[in-house]
Amino acid sequence: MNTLFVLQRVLIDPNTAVELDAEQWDLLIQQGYCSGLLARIANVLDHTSATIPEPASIHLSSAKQKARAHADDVRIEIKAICKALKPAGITPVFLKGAAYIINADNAASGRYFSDVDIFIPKSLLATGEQFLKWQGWQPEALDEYDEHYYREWMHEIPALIHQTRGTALDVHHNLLPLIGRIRLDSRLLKESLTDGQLTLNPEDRLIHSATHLFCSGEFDSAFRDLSDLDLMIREFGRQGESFWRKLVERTEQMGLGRLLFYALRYCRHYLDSPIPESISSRMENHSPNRLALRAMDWLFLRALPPHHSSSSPRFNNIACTLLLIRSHWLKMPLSTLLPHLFRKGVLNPIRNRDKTLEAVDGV
Amino acid sequence: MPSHIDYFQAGRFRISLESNIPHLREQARLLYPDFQQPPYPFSDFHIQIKGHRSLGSLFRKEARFTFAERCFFTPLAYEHAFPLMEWGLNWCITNHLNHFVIIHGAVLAREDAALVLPGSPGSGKSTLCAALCFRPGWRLLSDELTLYAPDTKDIHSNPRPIALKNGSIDVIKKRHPQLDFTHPIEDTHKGTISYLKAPQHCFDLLDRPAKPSRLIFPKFDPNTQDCQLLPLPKGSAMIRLAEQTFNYGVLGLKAFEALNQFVRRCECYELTYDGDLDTASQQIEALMP
Repeated sequence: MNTLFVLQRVLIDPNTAVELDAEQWDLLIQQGYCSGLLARIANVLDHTSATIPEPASIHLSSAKQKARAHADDVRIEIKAICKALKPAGITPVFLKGAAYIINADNAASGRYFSDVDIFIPKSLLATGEQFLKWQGWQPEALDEYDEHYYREWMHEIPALIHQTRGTALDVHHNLLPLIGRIRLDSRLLKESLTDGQLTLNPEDRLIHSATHLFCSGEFDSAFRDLSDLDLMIREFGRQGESFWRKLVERTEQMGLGRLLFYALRYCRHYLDSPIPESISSRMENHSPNRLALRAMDWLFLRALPPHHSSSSPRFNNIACTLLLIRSHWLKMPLSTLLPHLFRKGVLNPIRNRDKTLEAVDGV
Repeated sequence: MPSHIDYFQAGRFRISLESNIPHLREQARLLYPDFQQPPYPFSDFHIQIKGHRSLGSLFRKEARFTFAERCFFTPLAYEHAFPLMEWGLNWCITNHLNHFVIIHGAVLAREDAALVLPGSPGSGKSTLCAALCFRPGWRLLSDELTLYAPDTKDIHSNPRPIALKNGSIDVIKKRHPQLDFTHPIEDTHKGTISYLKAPQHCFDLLDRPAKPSRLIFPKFDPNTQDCQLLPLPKGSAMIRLAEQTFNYGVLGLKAFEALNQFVRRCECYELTYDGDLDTASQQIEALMP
């Protein structure tokens, strides 16, 4: 797209908010709600001289309040999880949002949470799970197939729900599926950590975020994730060359160059992320061939921006569907995938169609 | 069906509704005054409710609610589009606005003294509220969401259609056959629902807030003998009110302090009634300042 949508413009240069008229504020709030970035926009606008019209400011300050409450809740969860695992001698490694909060990364700004993610090496997984259960985290009842899916094929166990607080916890023992096309030796993760370290190193946090977004089949929050990446690039990148060298070496060591290539490409495209020329050209080595790159551009340029008619090009539904198929393709071999798709795509929707979501029913 | 965008005021909030469902627009036109406004430059909530068929529904027609073009709920039956909009709007308000402490409860006022009736579904608050708001001297602020502004200690008016369920539909229809009701909408997960248009003067007094004055927890019990109105200790009232506050967790200490003040300003009671709305209304009126 040639023109920037208003959310993008404000994230790149918050001072442009000074020029917004009522209708553009309306669009900004809509795009904020749609992308899950409303609270982050509110934080960004704090540092500008823009006068926010009252109806918009109510939405922004409410979003900020909600994000603050979520961050407080996550801090409580972090303490509780550490406490539950301590008697087992396990130090969990917090991933994604919880990690940004622990490190006070800029990427923690205005983030909402639906769960907390931790990594425990596979050798300690059974013990860790047991200790978490004793402290109130219980798995949801799953059928045998889903159990098998998670435990044998995926990189995480089924979500645990805390029985009194109702909070969700995802326990990972790898960052990528075990039977996927792109695999990761989880020993690499463990080796880089010092004793008692609660989060991955900055370069690994960025790589994990990129891996997550660009293997994903779910693009509802993609622009939020892209903005997380942009904030990490800006913040960590300020350390200069040493960070970039570590980032590239680490990515290549893990065999995830292609995914970092995409992350840097689209961060720069959408959010003008500052990436040194030398790094961009080195990452070119990880680009797919020209034809494939054009195809991926077509897909990602439709799936990444907020799925709102004011920011998203046409055919974004098709792009998201194709990327969903790609994510499954990446996740498992065809012999596993085809029966899986039939089960999830055809059998389950029919079985579940009479279940009404109580959530509609705010009241 | 082509989509239309309608702009209207749902209580205090400006709504833009995009829909291609004719019966939804018809019901909304009946229940919301000035349904079709010229486009607002700024709408609080942009919602879309579209008729839609999918594989999951075996291509049966469903109504799908999206907010800011994003889908947060599973679709409901096509015929349930209006309740879906009402629930969706409640969800929009309770999840996204934190400048109010938002209590799950009906609120009415005489002069500027507010009567708040918090309660879980089935407690009979909407029925009681429908009975009271057509009696002289009363105005309805909301039958579902009490919006309390902690800074000014005001309860703000938010008049929307009153949702009557199951047995209470006929009870209220018998008392006020001349009023605007939607036809009964059957087989929702709350049973049969009929919506009643709020009295016109409530819309005219939209900008007039009220002060917390009486807090009554209603309980409908068909087996009870007559109508009991017992004082409730403020401590218990506070805890029960917190349980009925949607954004208590998000507001934290601020909500605790606000509800504390709220309860201090109120006389608190528990009302058990057998469905005799006249007796209950008279008892409540005797309590009002």
